[in-house]
Amino acid sequence: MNKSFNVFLVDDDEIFSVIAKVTLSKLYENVQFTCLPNGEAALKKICSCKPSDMPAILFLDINMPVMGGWDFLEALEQVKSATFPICMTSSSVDPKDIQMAKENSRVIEFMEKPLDRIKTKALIDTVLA
Amino acid sequence: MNTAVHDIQKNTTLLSALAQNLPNAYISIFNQDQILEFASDAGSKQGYLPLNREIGLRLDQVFSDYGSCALNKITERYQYALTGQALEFEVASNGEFQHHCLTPIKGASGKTEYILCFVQNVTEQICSIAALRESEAHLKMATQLAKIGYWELDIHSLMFTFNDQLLDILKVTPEQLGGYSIPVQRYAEDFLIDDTAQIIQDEINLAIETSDPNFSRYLEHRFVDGLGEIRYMAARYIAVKDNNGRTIKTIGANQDITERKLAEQALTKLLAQTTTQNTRLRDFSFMTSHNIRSSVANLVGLTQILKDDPGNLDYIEMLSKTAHELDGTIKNINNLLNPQKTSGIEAKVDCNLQSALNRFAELNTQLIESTGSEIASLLPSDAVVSYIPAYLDSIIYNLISNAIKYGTHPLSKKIEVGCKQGKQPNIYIRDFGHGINLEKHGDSIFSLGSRFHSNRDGQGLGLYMTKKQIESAGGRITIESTCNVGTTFTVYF
Repeated sequence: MNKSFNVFLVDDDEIFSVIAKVTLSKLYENVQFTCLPNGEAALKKICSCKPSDMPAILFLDINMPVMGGWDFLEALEQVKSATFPICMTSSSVDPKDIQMAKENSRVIEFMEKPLDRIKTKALIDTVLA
Repeated sequence: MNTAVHDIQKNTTLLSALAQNLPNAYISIFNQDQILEFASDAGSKQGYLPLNREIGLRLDQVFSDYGSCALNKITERYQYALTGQALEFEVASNGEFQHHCLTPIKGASGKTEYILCFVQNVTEQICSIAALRESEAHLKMATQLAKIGYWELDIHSLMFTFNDQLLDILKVTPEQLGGYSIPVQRYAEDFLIDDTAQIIQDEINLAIETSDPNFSRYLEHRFVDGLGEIRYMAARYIAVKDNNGRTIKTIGANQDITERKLAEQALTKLLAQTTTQNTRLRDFSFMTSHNIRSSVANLVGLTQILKDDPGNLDYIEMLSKTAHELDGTIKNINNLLNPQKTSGIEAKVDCNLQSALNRFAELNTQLIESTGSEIASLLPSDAVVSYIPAYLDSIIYNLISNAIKYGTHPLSKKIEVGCKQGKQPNIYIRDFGHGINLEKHGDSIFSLGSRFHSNRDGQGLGLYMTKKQIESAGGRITIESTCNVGTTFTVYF
């Protein structure tokens, strides 16, 4: 449990990223964050990432400029080294998004913003176990 | 006794046999005193007019069951036959029709001694002819009502032949057309438009080449009628082949389907409009709910972390920023939902563009100074447009604040405002920033929820609303952009 782990936050909303960071830091002492403003930046980061720096989990927003969440997931299929689970985050109430999240095998969870502490802790504990 | 008469008497057996083989017929012989001398068996069969065929009865007794009118006719005609005149006639009684064929047979003296009668029941034929006439009349009426025109095309001579209904559809008279037949070529020149002539040619080829005995085609095409109006035709046709399997002609039935076609088009258009509108409403509701929820989610999140760390000024600053964002979203939604608020109330007046730009600069000093933007006007001092002032201010505000937010970077903070050459009054707002990849985003640049820049926050509403506002006042907006050179929005009033 003391071993540190990485969390990638892919979201154009800086305030959301700050809240998520603060919330997660309260839950885990040994968490490190990488905040990325859109899918394209996240993809670049992942491609240049050492295996040891890969995230334990990636929180992915749907609605972002330049490259949104769904386009990112599609592009990520080409990156063999990326095996980490993904949690979609959105304030969207579009049932289509929830359905698409269910159908994607990489996506293990769909969370509405803001992140709920209890649910988030349960999710990350499962991933780390 | 005369030989002919003798022969007849001798051959009654033969006559009976003959009569049996004739459908619905009998043969009888009357002598000069109108007494029945012979009647074949068939004459008494069921379904015939009642006939008393006892030998030795008088004519009026033989036909006594006939109605008086029929009997009178028979008596009169048989008497006439006795004068030596061969004749035929039809008689009706009790709904049955009989055809009588009377042949006088003369004796040696030259006097008629017998009448040979061949009588046939023709009820069925007469009824079917009547039925045929009736159904022909019905068909003609139906054809006229349904506006079905018939035609034939002779493959060898490539001549069309039309009926009256087809000419009605084409709205020409036989006089105008020079008859009912015209060459395919002339038909194409006079009545067809676009690529329809080619379609007709292709169809003729299909009909020639087909080996399918059930070959049948249906097509719809436009045509120009004799009055120059564009209408729609539906054609269904078959190919007729000779004994060698060669197509000799095509026969078709055409219908004017203009009314149906126009109704269809109106419906399709309406459907497209409704679908677009629906999509827009759906996009709008998701986008606004997304924007509102994003802000609310942040407010909830921020209050949570503030509870753990009360008084953190960074968080309070974020709280304030989020609250303003939410306020902006709701204002935008109000504007979007009630765009008619200003239109209709305010009338168009002559607006000087430079004055409008000056107003913007005065009201937004803080925005301009805090970003270090430089607004350069190339507007002619006398540039005036007839417009609703509030609209003009709103358009200038949206486009310039957009340019300041997204079109400037540390090395280029200049925004140029001017008028393009041309008849139509216009204003352009040009920045020298990153530009937008129009090949990638061209279609969606003015649509709801579109954001193109990663470095700034935007709600994806501004350009959409600006465009709607411009269009509602009868104008249009265009965009030109080159990556790393800049972007120019031009509003035509």
